Amino acid sequence: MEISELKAELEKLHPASFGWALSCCRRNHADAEEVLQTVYLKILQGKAIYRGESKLQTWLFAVIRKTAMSERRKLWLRTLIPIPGTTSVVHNELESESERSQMQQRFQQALAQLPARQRETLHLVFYQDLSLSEAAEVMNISVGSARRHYERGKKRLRTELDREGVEYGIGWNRKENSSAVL
Amino acid sequence: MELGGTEKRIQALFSELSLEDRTHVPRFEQLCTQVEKRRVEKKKPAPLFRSSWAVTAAVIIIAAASSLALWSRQSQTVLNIAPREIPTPASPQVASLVESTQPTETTRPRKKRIVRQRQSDNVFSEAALLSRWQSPTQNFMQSPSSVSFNSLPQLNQSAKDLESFLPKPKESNQ
Repeated sequence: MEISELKAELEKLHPASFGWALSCCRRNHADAEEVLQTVYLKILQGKAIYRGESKLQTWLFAVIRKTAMSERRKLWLRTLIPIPGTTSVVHNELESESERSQMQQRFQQALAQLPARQRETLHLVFYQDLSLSEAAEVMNISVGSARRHYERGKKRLRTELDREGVEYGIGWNRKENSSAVL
Repeated sequence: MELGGTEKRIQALFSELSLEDRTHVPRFEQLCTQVEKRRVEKKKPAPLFRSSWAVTAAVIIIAAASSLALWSRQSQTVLNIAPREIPTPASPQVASLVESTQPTETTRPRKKRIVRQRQSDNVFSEAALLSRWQSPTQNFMQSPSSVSFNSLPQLNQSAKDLESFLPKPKESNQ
């Protein structure tokens, strides 16, 4: 794929990529932007090459996830050796938190309580509209594992939301038909 | 994909979240320009001379020079001790060798070399003394019949000749 063509595709996927980067960076906007920049740099420099073996979106999301993980590792190292000028991010986060609706805040708090794998699976399925097999590809795990994370994540999110008292339209306790997602 | 009740609710919450996120998405062009900046920064050649490199190079040079000096000193001491044959006690060369080595040796300032030379000199002088040594009882071992002891009769000699080796009977006994 040509660079210009790839750039156009990246532009199309940019909002979704940012949403995924946000999820990978625990809703930290500055970190998500940084990760996205690094990913684009990797792609334009040819360090990350798309070989057409999967959908561009799943490949891109996998690259974002890996980059976010490595950035998180670097950040962890930076916390061991404190560097001045890293507190401004927290301030920005607090500002954006105040803008959110109360229900969304609770939902995000409940989402933050979930283990990373469960949170990621739910995000890829519900937010990005990917199938479980695509989500598994992004997370580099088997479809069975992805399904397990999805089911457990759903169950746990529901209990967390019940605890938080979040209601959206119909009550949570109604019986439901748990159909296959694949 | 058919969704159940819980899934529908989760989906609604997620879609609300995605709508909120879309308001904060940074512009793609803006990100691209920042990426280009970073790309150009990375392409800049690294400075040729760095203090850390200079320090490392200096350390390597000093270490190499000191090891070379040490090695050359050691090799000199090895070369100064000439290989000599250890003389046998009977050889007549010993005395001459001892005499020849003693005066020609030049005095060296270094302690170690002097000590080694002294030790080797002592060995040679002792060897020479041992070669000259004779037992004080050696005279008693010599007798008039030593010639007959030292020579043995041959098997093909005649009986008369053999008789000469036999002791003669004393006349007083007859």
